[in-house]
Amino acid sequence: MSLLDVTNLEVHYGKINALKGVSLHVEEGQLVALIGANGAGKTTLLNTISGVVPGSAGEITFQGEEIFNEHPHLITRMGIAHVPEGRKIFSELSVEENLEIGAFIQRDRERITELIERNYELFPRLAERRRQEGGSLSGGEQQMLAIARGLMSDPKLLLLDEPSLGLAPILVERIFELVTEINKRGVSVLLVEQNANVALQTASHGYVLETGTITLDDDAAVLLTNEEVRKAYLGIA
Amino acid sequence: MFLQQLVNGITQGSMFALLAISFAIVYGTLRLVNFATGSLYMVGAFAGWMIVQFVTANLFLAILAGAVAGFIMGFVLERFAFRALRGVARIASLICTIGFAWFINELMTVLFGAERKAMPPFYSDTAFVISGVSVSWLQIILVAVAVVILVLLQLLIFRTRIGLAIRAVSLDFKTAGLMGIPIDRVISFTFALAGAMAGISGVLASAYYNAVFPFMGNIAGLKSFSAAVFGGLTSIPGAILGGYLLGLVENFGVQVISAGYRDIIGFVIMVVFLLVRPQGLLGRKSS
Repeated sequence: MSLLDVTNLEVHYGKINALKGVSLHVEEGQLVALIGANGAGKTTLLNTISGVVPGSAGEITFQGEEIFNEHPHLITRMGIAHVPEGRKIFSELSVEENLEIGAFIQRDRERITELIERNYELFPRLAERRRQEGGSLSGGEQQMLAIARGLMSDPKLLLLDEPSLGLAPILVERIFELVTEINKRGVSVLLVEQNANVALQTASHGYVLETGTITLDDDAAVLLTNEEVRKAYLGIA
Repeated sequence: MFLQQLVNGITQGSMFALLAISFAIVYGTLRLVNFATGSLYMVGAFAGWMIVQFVTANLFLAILAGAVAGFIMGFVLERFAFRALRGVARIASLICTIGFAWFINELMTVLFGAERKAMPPFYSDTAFVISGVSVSWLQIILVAVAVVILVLLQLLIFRTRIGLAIRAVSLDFKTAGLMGIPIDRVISFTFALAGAMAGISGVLASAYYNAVFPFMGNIAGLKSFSAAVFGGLTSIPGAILGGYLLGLVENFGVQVISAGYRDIIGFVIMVVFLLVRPQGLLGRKSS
């Protein structure tokens, strides 16, 4: 049993078969990258794990417990935090209010303060901007806020959807350093990325998703040298 | 006369403000205009009237009954009608609210008859007189009740966990779910809260006008809806401001023009204002 087991997952949007029997595993402490082209079904997979999109068949278990088609808020309570594509921060609320909402499942006030402090230590930029509206932050800062907000639920597994989207290369590097650091601190990560190069360099294991099917499943280092991956996703002939 | 209209305007504005808030909190969370709000106002008024008629002639107990009746009705409407329609075209929910408004109004007509029922006068003694204008205890109580409720609502929304959840759901309910917020329960609660606001407003109005009848919520609902739009529709402070402004504008309008135009004056001003500032007084520019 892994931390997260997805087995033969099928998802349909009306008549469109978005995921066609996807199986994927995340071990405790692992940082797994899921790469693939736009429209391959990466975001759909994360949305189905976190309960936002209903699956039509298959099985998803987290720590051995069935979470397939469970309510999103219950899945969050079990220890999965989903940082959605496009960050989706509450732009009209302050940085700190965003973090407070992320801590909704925490009932202990002291614990919330502790988690906020821990986040500010990890993301000093957010501490500087704690009273500012989320919408006034730069793209990179918003991504940091989205991740920090996800960490406020104190998850065992972090689902990260395209954290590099729209960021300058230097910021992408910084975000992935932080993801590595979060992983080192004991949070398992399932990372979805179009930026295959940086994702596979950060992760220990990788999957390639093509039009709803997993086509490759191997060590990230092996995928980095794979001929097909290099051609299709790394732009190296 | 100026002072008299000011006093009347503030008193009526209090009721408009509560009802406008009812529209604003439902619209804020679901982007849905609940045209059954006026009916919840009427049901609240009937609940208050029944307490006075059959139990005890206590205005505060009547207000409590109106709040409870509105709370339950709001909850029931959301749970059994609007939840099924969530995610479907918004126009379907909108029409559903209009349908429910008529259903509730007709049902109450069948149960209680269409004629006005008298609400006995409460606290009609004069509290004080300034420059010839007398202010009754009832007027003071109505305004005080509204202000207390408005303050409590602000505290609920900005100082409590459920308030944080309501704000998160109203900004982005999908993402709120990912934060571990039980969206369905929050939306149920929001509807019920809106119902309670409408119910309280109904009891206050029935005490002020000494009357209860099944179609009392129609014009009051439309006017308060425009007050909420005036305030920006998603903003609670905007709805409060809109409600009080409507009360004042109407009463001064009556003074300047004629009492026969009472119901028109407010709407005309709203339309003109919205042409100039479509997002309302305190509304968000776009969503």
